[in-house]
Amino acid sequence: MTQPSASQQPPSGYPYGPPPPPRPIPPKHPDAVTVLVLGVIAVAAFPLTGPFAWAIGARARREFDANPGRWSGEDELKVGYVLGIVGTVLLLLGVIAIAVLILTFITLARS
Amino acid sequence: MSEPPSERPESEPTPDSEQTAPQPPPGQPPYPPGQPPYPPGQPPYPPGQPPYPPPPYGYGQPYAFVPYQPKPRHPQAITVMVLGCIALVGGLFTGGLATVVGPFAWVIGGRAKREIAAEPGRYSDEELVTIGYVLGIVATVLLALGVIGIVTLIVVVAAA
Repeated sequence: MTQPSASQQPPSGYPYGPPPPPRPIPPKHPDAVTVLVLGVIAVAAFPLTGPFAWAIGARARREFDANPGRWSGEDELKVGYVLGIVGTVLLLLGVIAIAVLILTFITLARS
Repeated sequence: MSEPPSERPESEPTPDSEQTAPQPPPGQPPYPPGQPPYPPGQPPYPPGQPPYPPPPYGYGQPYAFVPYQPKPRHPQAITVMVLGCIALVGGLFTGGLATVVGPFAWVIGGRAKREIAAEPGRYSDEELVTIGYVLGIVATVLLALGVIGIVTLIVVVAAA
C-alpha cells in the first residue's frame, strides 16, 4: 500500500512482442492479370496464347524477383506462367498431330 | 495524573477541532507525496459522461460502427468484361461469329485502362478491365486469323 500506483502499471510487454503495424499491400505487377488470363485461355480455349503467357510471365517473374516487396500478385504470375507452359505443350502436340495427319493423307494419296 | 494533556482532543472532540480532515499516521501516508493517484489536470473520466457509451442493442462490442465505403468500379469495367467474355467464349459456340465483339472490348478496355492509370487509387477492380481487355485482344486476333483464312480460301477457290 506504500506504492499503490506501481501496481496500476501494465505488464512490461506482450509475450510475443508488440503486434506489428499493418503494412499496405503493394500494387500488383502490371502484367499479373494479363499473364493469368493468357494462361487460362491457352489451356481452356486457344493454345495459341500459351507462348505469350509463357514469355510475358517469365519476364514479369524476373522483374518481380528483382524487386522484392515492390509488387504483389506473385500467385497470378506463377499460375499464368505454368498454364502458359502447359498451353504451349498442348499447342506443340496439336501442331505435331496435324502435321502427322497431313503427311499421312499425302502418303495415302500417292500410294 | 499520568496522561499528557496533548491527547485530550482525540478522545473528546470539540466542535472547532480539525476532525473534518483526519491526519494520517505520520509513519504511513496513504499515497506517496510525489505521486498523486491521478494527474491533477486529467480527471479519469469526463465529468458529465459515463465512462463508456451504452452499447447498442444487439451488438456485443461497444465500438463505434464505421461504415465501409468501397471505391467505385470504373463505369465501363463490367462492359469491357462482358464484351471480352462474349467475344471469346461466345466465339467458341458460334463458330467464331461472336469474335466481332472483340475489337470493341479492346478499344473500350484500352480507354478504360488509360483512365484508370491516369488516376491511380480512384477505382477498384482494375482486374475486370484487364481481363476484358486481354480477352478482346485475343478475340480480335482470332477474328483477324479467321478473316485471313476465309479470304485466302476464296482467293484459292476463285483461282482454281
